[in-house]
Amino acid sequence: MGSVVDQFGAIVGGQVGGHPRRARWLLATAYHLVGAQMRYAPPKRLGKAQSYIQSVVSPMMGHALAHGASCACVNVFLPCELLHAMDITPMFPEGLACYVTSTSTDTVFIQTAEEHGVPESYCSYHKMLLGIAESGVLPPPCAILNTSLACDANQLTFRRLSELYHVPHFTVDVPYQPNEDAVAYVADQLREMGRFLSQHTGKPLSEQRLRQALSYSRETVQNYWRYLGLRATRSMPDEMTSEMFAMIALHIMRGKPEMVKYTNLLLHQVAALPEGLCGKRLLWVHTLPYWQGSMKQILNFSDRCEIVASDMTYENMILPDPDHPYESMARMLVEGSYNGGADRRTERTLDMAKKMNIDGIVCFCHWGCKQTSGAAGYMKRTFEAAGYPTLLLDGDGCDSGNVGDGQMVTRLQAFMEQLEGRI
Amino acid sequence: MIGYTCKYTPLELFAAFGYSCTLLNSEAADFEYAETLTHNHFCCHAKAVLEDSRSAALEGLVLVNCCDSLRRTYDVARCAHPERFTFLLDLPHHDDSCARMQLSRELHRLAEEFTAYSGKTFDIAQFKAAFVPAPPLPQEPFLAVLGARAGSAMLEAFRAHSPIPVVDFTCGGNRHIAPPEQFPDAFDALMDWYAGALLGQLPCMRMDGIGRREELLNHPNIKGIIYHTVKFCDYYAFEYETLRKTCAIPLLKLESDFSRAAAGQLATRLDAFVERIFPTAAAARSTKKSGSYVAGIDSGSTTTNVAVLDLDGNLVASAIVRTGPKAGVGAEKAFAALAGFSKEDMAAIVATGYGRNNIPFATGAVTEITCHARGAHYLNPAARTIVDIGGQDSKVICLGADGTVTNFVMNDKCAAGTGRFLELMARTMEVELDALGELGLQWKEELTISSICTVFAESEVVSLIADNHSAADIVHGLHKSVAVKTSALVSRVGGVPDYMMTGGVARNRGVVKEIETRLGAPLWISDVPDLCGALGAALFALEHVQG
Repeated sequence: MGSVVDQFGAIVGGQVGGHPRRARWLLATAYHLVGAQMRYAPPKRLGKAQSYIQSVVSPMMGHALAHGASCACVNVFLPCELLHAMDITPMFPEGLACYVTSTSTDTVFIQTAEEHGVPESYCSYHKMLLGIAESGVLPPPCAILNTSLACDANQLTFRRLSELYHVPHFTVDVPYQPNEDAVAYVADQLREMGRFLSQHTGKPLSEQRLRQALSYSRETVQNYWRYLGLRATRSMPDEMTSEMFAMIALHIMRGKPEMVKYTNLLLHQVAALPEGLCGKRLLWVHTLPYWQGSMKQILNFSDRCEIVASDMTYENMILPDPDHPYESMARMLVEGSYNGGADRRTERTLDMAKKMNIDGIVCFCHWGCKQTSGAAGYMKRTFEAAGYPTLLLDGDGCDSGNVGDGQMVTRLQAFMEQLEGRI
Repeated sequence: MIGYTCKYTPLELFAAFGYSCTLLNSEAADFEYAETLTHNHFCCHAKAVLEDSRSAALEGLVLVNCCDSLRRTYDVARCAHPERFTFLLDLPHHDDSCARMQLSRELHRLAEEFTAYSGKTFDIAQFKAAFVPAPPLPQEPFLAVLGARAGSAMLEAFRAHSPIPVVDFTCGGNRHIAPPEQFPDAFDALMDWYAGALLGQLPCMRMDGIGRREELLNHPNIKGIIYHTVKFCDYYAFEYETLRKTCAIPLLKLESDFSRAAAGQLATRLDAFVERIFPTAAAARSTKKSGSYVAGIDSGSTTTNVAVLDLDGNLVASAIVRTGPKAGVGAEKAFAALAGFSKEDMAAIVATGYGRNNIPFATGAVTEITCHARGAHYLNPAARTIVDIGGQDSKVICLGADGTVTNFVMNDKCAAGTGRFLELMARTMEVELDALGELGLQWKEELTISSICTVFAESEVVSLIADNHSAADIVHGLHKSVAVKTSALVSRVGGVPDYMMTGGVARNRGVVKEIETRLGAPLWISDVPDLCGALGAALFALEHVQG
């Protein structure tokens, strides 16, 4: 007999084929309940900031499933300040896929996607989103918006969704070279995206509200940078999920007042800790296998090691500017380390490793992400030349079918032994 | 010589500096170098480009930021050859006026950097002379190659197997920039025009607006489409899925890993496709001999099966033997196992299966796709979809009412979902292969083997054994895993009832039951499921003898 979550997953999975609306309702209800649990009875080990952000994001996922028409389907890098200024809820592949995996319903959606011709080698986050859409569980959004970065899947997933749902689709093309022409090119497209959204949703875009959203963004980013500054000299054992939520706070949810509150809580939480480092300090590159039991056992709330930070929360060193909202959002895209060459991302990560007192770097090669796997060898060579032992860990951020669990455990434990000087 | 891969590469600009460009489009012998620099889960075309990029003949490499893999290819190639001119052209995803300006700026950047590298100057006369007219399309029927670029050896194979011309419409083959009536004189205006002309090409799937790709299908002489995809390149699987649902032209999907291997499966699929488009071509290969019987030999990876028919079409004898390492020897053994029949009694012998071209005494060869369809139609004329799971591959074939192949799909180069997968798992569990079927029916607890990879699945099974799960439950999980792969193939090819199952795995009742559950319909299985291919081959032999 499996766990309650597994049983729930089996029930939902059983409904997907014949009753997708019922499956949708079950998932949406579960995510609302998780939100309520995080608000009123969070797990004891979880920090206040971490439970708070889960109490905000979980109902948002439930809302995206239950009320599709008030949501826009976006990719994780799309500047969502525009959406928040118009009260449109963003729904993104990585978030929904992670929630679906948390409720043990990943397999049925992955299978559905592959039955509809999505290649096996496709990014599992995007494959999952397409499976949820193709099965009829995901309701049509009001619009589909994406940037061309950070990966090819954005071009494909969102085009496919727009064909499936027949809803308006807008792509922001982000040039590779970081220069002022590129910033202006993207800023113009973002202005156009605002008009596009207003036209198709009937909601006006207030410049004042947009500037307000950029102010929240600015405060969120500033708080997070302060938090990183304190975390550099403090230990705070946590779970992998927290890094995923921090990434959400600094991307999709940037521009919401709740994220200012989240980063304030985080700041106070770390400030209350004594200075001093214990256990091996890991810097994580790319997404995390937060769902995987064996990885949780090694990495969550461990005395032996802690994930201090991830490169996804350090990909941008641009402070949002409410006085120049479009140029500011454009600059964050163009100059972010997930845009441009592997050298930019590697240097940014290395900079973070130095500032955060890191012992070792784990580069997680999420299945289907050629962006990261293609750069992994280069990163490892560069990090190790700079004195940081580096582990390339092949796995999957949400699909259990792509994982060699035993091998991952061996690799990670051997890496820990390497860091501890045992081998 | 400058190496390039993408049709948006400004080749004429390099001609203006007196340099020629070469398309890097060769399949690789192996990916050792490329995987050292990148990762094994990486676009196989990009890995082949990296292997090609080692050539000392290349003075430079110009890539376009087509996709994640080529961006990373640029990153590592630049580091591997710092002495060489290596450039990444930032191609916009849009093709509007803003994008055109953006690309024009990139062309300026390229021209400046190449001037600095080569010490040469841009010669406008050479630039103008570099534009050549597009070659005309054949006036007769032809096969079109669409999708992701096909390697040069693969294109050669297409041409060798096709009785009609083959035209390459992939990025490697359909680059054409039409010159303007009058070239602008100023360099800025020239680059502005050139940027528009490059962006004005028929878009690849990487571009944002792809509506014009429909033009590719509109040529009246296209008799069939070979749709090529590359392992770990995701772009074209999406277009294929749309075509599969909407395109009336016969369509064959082929996936390659840009290596020089895998010719066997490729040849089978190509031949079967040709047989589908030209149904009469298959039987015509046989030569008539005297004799009172005909035979079909199915030379598979695990077993060789032979079926003998009399000239009235009655099955009079059959045999199944292990193939062993050589197809020809396996076929001899199969004939020796036939009681009372020799090769000399046969008016015609048609071979099918992987070894079909290596059986010296066969008078003809037809692919197992076509033979399975013929055999299945003979055994059960109501069948519209055949599920065949053999030792090395699994396939789903759709039939028309007259028994002709209307569509088919095979598993990729992966053992998951095949007889070999079950064989390996039976060995891991120390259970006899023949006992798996019945054992799996006695399950109590629902287990899921979620790994798609055979090696991962094996370790998953080992973990389940260690967790004290019963053998019956684990075997049931394995059967479900095969059924999932199989039903996905049925769905991909658009299979409809009545369903029929052939191949050795059809004897495994556990797998059959799981597939039936997923399909929501029964599978019709003959008394001789292994013989269907050999029977089809024998029917082709009979057809030939009877003229």
